[in-house]
Amino acid sequence: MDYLKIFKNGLVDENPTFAQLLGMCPTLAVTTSAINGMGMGLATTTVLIGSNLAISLLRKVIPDKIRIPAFVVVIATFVTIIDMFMHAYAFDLYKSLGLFIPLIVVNCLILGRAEAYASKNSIVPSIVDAVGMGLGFTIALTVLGAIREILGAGSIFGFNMLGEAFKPVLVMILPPGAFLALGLLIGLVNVISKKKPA
Amino acid sequence: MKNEIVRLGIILFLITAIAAGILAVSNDITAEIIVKTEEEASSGPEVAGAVIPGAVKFEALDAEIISKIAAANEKFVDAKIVLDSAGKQLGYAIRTLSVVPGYGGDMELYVGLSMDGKLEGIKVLALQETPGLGTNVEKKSFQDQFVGKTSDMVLQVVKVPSSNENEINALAGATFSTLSFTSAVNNAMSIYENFIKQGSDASEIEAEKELTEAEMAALLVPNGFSFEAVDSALLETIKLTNEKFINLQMVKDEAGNHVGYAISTLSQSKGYNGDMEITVGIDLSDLITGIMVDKTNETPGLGTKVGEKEFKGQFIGKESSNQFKIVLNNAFSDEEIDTVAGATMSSNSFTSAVNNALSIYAEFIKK
Repeated sequence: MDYLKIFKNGLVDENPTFAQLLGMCPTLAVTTSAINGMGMGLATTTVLIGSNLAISLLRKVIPDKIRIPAFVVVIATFVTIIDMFMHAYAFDLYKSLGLFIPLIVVNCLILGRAEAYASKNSIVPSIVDAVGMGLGFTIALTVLGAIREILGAGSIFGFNMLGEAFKPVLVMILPPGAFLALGLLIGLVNVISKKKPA
Repeated sequence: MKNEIVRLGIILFLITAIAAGILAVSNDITAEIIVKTEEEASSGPEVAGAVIPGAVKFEALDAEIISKIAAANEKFVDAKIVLDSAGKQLGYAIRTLSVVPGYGGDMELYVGLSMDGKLEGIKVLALQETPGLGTNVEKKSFQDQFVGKTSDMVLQVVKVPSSNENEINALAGATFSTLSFTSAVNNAMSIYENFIKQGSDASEIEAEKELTEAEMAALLVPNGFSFEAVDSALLETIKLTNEKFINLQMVKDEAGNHVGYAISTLSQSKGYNGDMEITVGIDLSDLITGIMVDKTNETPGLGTKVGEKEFKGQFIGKESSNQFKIVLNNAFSDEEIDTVAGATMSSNSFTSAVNNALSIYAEFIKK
């Protein structure tokens, strides 16, 4: 097993956001700022690592017929844990992500990896896969959040970077801006990846 | 086949049971911290300082006042006393929702008012407005417009540059949010004005109860100094014929001369919250000289206004032979009484009590 290849697969080749277009709902909704995107990405990564680990461990115990409900229970457990710990230790982020934390449960990226990878592979590759996919998701959300925050509010990670003279393009932090930025970003990624010899 | 289903059920049950166990443990770890964090976020030193500059902590306000306000004002959340680091009281913080919803529902604010009713600062606790537009209500430049306003004002939102003291400039592109924010501030200020400010209605009525006998006598009949019981046979007769009657006393001046009568009675028609008990003072020339509210359960700030001079003053100096009735528009004749705006039931109840006292007077005392 080439762990680096598995890792790169999640981060670049099959990037959940740019290549697989998974988990679009939180992607569009929470990326109003870079920090929100990053927080959401990391929360999802943590859940993904936990669920991949647990499901890979249990893959021989869980009968095929009830694998979906079992996966959902495992995922929901990790999401609830993350929800409680964020509430306790990262209150500001918890408040700004709001409803989208519990909604990680239904992020198809997580169930997708459980079904497609963790239930068929041993523990270590499953964790590497989760880290790769999770970081790929985090980077995509952070980049998207950063672009929207710079254009829409003139700041990055809350620090003002374009000065008072810059007039923010408000639409970028409103919902339509999410579609615009994501569409252009995916287009850009496609152009770059096509130029590379396969 | 049957065994298969049972086996699947047991496996799924085991997975969920383990999950529940893990969740119980993490809940145990985090529950206390979550409560503390929530508490910190809504009433920590940072919030206190934002609400009134120089303040570091909150202290609970009298629970009785809080429940009074909560009963009368549905948007009210909480009120606290604001202290500086030396424990000196700087003012009050009133936590309220907005009365007018914003673009994304109600906002929740902490509004800080100094001891003399000046607005010192505002802290937004919760809002769901559009980022970059409605959320600008959190900006200092917007909130600074409110600082220094006094609790007796009713603030208005204008789109042109504000010219009056009570006007607030709307945020460009966020009129809804501005309206909602301002409605919450107005609500906080009216709560302060009606319940917390020294000498507001609630405390004024309270004060009347603690008067000495001489002060009460003087309030009811000019020159009154003491009360003296009347013939007990007379009292019994009145009690038998009038179920709302409570007591009748003679009012004497300092030298012991008889100057008038004091009649205590319940109201005949119920107020918003049951009967009220009042005492009517009548002098020897059969004129109404004073009225005191002894007991009332009316809404503080609205129904309790019947105990204020503006309303009860309408009765003073009138002939005891009148039977009063309340009117909604301007009182025209001697027998008409203007109601307290927003408290028609209470006005009516009060008036019915006065009328009862007057009929007792006419029937049993008047010569």
